[in-house]
Amino acid sequence: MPQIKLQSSDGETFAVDVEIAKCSVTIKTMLEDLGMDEEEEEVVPLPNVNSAILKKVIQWATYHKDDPPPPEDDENKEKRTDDISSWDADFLKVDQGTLFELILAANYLDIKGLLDVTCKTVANMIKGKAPEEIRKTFNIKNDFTASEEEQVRKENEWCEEK
Amino acid sequence: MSESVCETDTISLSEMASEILLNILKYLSVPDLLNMKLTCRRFCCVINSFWDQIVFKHPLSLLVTNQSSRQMQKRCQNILVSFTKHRISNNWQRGTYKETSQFFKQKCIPCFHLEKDRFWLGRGTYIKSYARYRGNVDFHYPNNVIDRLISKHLCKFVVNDDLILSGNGPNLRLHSLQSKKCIFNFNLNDMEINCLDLASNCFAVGSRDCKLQFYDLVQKKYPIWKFTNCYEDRIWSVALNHRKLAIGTAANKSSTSLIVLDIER
Repeated sequence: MPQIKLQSSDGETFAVDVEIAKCSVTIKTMLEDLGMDEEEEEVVPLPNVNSAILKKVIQWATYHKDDPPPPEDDENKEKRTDDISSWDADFLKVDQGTLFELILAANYLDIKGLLDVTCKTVANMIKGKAPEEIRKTFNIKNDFTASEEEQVRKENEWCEEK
Repeated sequence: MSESVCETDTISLSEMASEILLNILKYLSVPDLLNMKLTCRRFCCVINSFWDQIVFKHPLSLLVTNQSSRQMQKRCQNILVSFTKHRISNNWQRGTYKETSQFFKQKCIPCFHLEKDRFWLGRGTYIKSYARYRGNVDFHYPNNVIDRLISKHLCKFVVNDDLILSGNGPNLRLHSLQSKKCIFNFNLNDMEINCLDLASNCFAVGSRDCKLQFYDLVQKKYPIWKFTNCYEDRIWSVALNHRKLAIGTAANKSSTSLIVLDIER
């Protein structure tokens, strides 16, 4: 199987099957548009992804290489977050910094499946929590003045009635 | 799932680009979004601005004003963030189209009063109040009934905290809700009462014989007559506000339809 080399921001290169690398729409377009010859071993520079994260991304893509393409977003369907596979859940047992970097990498590389599952994981960390608990979880500083906070609370009221 | 606290040298959630935040926020329910809005300015701002995209997944055309001018409608659309637009639109729609009741389809409603949790209705020889919950009135069981009013021509009543002032034909009555008693009952020389208004420490009554009577209310219990003014026309409306009393007349004989008095006390 033909391979390409992906180079991380810190200069490390990873040899990856072309088919696996193509789960990233960004890499796929690059290969097609730039006419990179699959026979030659090209080096694709990825200046926005460091080696630790790139390693994780490749690990994820390798496991999911035979998955059917993710379905298009259905506007009317309610978004579920409880459908994360156990492999993905294990894979995402990482610290918050890594999780966020994976989101950024998935967004940059345009890997919908990885972006969905990482964003769902973060959404699950928010769900059902009170504002103060959310702040604690994500180390968010409350930058509201007391009166601003009261104002937001008031604004929210009409919505809560439903 | 990782719940570890964010390390200081790595990227944090509040620093993420809006585009990426939206990917996360779209999985949250409305209550979760409201909690998220309360955490910090950044999230509040992002959620307010992209409310329609997050909640409805596509831009909505929202009714933000009842102005018929298209230019005005367009201007409002541009000024407001989508959360505010949705709130206003929701209010318009709920207020204008959604609250309907066919309970009194064939009977007239001479007088009513709406409070946050109660709806007061005066008809025939009674005044009743009904519980109101989330905008809907439960007409099955009245929770306050003031009955045995004499005349069938209930003209008007006013609710102010614990007190209800009713004008029923020539009969002026003051009821206390707490003690469930009529604490004042007075006959206005057999002249039909057209209008009345009640403040916390005074009330005014306008009657068919062109007279306006003003009373002080001592300790929210004891009415003391202060003055009676006679006008040329029948008095149709009175309104009390602090030290001002407004009187609306038929203006048939005189040319003045509105009189405003400063009440010295």
